[in-house]
Amino acid sequence: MDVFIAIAVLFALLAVGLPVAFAMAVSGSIGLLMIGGVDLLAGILRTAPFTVANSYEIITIPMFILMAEFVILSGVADDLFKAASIWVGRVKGGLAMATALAGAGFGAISGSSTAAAATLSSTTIPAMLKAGYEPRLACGVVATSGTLAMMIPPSIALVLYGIIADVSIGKLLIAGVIPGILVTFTIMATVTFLVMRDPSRAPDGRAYSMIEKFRSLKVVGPMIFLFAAVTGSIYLGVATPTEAAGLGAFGALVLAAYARRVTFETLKMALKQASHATCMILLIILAAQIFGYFFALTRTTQDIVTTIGGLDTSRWIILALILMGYVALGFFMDQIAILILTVPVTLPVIQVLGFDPVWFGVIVVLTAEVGMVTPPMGLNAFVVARYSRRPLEEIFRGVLPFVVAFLMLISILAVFPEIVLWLPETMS
Amino acid sequence: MSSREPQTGPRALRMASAFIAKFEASFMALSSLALFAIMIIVTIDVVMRYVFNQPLEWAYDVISLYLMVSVFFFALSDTLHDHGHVSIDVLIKFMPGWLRHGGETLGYAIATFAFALVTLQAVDRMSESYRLDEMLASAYNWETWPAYLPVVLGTALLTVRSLYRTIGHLWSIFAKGPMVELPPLPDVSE
Repeated sequence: MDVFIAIAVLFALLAVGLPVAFAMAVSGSIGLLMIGGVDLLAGILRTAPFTVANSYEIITIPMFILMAEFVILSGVADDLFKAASIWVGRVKGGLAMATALAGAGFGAISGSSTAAAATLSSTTIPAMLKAGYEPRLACGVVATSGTLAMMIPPSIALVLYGIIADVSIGKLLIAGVIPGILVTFTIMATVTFLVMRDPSRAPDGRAYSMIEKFRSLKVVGPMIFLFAAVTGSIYLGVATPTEAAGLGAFGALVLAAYARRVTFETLKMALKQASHATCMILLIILAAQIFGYFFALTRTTQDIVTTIGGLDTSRWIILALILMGYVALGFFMDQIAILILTVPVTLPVIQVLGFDPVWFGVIVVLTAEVGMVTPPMGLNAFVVARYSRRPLEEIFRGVLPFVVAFLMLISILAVFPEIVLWLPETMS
Repeated sequence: MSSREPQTGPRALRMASAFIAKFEASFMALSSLALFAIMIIVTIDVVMRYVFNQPLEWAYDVISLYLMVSVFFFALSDTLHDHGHVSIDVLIKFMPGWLRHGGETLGYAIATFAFALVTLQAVDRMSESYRLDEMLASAYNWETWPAYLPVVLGTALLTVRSLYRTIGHLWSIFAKGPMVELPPLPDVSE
């Protein structure tokens, strides 16, 4: 009964718009008060808040967020689209494909999905609309390409999963590389399919000379520098994810300084934004811990795991149900909140069923990518709507074909885990 | 008053928010400074470790004990004031004002109680650590009590901001309109 009351309070507070972390902390506190009184709650609140922040590994999150802020400041991301459009611009629908490549490039140097969507919106949508692209296609491809940053390392979502699930962050980040490339190809293939079905959606492309193509590569230099500093050093075992994150943030600051974009005001703003985002994530982690204590003391998680583990049903059906649950949650909840709230419950179930936790992390984040663009809570769709000044409805319609393609890719990666697990197994 | 302050409502409430915001801005500066320091220390540590084989042995302790704690707790209240904590706003637009403000009053009231409890526990833990002269078991014997200072200050300010929101939402029920700052809804109009 206590569990139902706490969950009902949680959903009621979420519904009235209380911040997710506050709703979880309050409902968890009410639950703890019901089962153990003020003494139990005070005991937990004495240690839990300090412990959340008093960790060296957790700095990976603020460092990757700071890196994203400095990358945006440097302006490198703006040039990525120009370079990609010169290489694939000749193909029909080439600018839309260039958007996907620019999204992948941005994802390789930044772990923030919304930052990617905002940056891509400001450069790619005007270019596509000017060239005569169907607005729905242009907005759809930008919103979905922005989600690539969630998967391609450095991925803040995968770091967060690693911390919650106590899984190697290095392995998780490297495991995101191949799925990230596959998602990029999936977006490009979807564009090709859509343009083939209705050629009026995109105009004919334009060819560029080889000199123009090689000149455009100057933007790739700084990108490779950052990618090598972060993902390369983790893969080769030269640096831990924490060290790589710090180096990445510093490298991005150097790039921004080289581009003469760093002033006291811009630096202050980047640090403030990163501190806010870090605080938001850490407070949700803290609130989830409070709620988690309540679940642990009432044996709720254990009961769920035992019940599902004892079901006489195929593990694939249970996996499919869990993933469908994630897609459904993504319609209404923030992806970070979903990860923190659900992984402590779903991961033990997944492990009991014999699935790999690294693979599951990649699949869950990929599923969360779908939630980033689906109504009514698709954050990337909101970002694209705000930056492009296009109606939200048009963007949600535009992402629909990409969502279908994403779901097909998730099914393939679910059935063939070795696609995800091969690269991390070759790590130094 | 900054643009983040409520534009309507009783003057006393608006002034209270602006007063809390002054502390939030100062704490935010400390949080940003701590974040910048982490980046610099990690970078120097990596260079010293892999190039000169002389890592900064104190880096791990200073970052985890003092700096990361400062980043988080000093940013707590300003992030709330800036609507930086994510919330679900799907149902709000279909909800009568009294229900929304009523729910938020209850939520912030309990949050105020919980954060006050965290502050009191942190004060107790800090004074205990000072009294017992607790040190971190490492080569440098770092004092642990200063690490609790950001917890005390940050959660105390968050408690005050939550109390302000409790009063503001409660007032909004009777005033039949928002008397407290509300998060901006997504601007998606063409």
